[in-house]
Amino acid sequence: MKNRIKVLRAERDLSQADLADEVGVSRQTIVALEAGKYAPSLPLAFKLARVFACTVEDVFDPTSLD
Amino acid sequence: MTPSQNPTKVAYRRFVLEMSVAMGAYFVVLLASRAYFSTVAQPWLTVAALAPAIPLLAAFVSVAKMLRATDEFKRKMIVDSAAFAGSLTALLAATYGFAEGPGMLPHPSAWATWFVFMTLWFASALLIKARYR
Repeated sequence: MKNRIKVLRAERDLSQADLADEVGVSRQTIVALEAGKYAPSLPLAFKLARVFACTVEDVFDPTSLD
Repeated sequence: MTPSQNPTKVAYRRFVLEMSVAMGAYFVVLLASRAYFSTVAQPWLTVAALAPAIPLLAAFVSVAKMLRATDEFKRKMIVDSAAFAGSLTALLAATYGFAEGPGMLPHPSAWATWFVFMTLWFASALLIKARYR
């Protein structure tokens, strides 16, 4: 699933490890998410959106599933 | 959340500790069992022979606890690789069993299944990890 995690993370000057700690996952999970190779659960998607202070749709592109 | 509070890291640290203790206990019990089971009679022979399974049960519990506490992506990778290894082990065991029936192949030790499963689990974990990189 396409997403803007890498861009949003860079805008906030967060490393992958920082973001992983913010949402309580491993750095490996952030790597897979940024690569668009893993679609997160709804709770994790909301946690990520909360860290970036935006909506889930602002982080993830639902049209990429079509 | 600080790195030390990250539940995935906490789960991993706890898993390493619990697994180390379980494996340490396993080797101690295994050595004691091998030393004693040739010198004792029933029912202690059964107790001595099966005693190493107790620390292995503790190792199993530590894996189960880690699986529940780790993050969703790591859990998916572990479960996917275990499912792949388990399915392939079942297929290989059944195929071997068909050849074993008419006496084409010898009767292997039950340890062979354990070895095949663990080898396939390790290999499939590496493959799945590479797929998500």
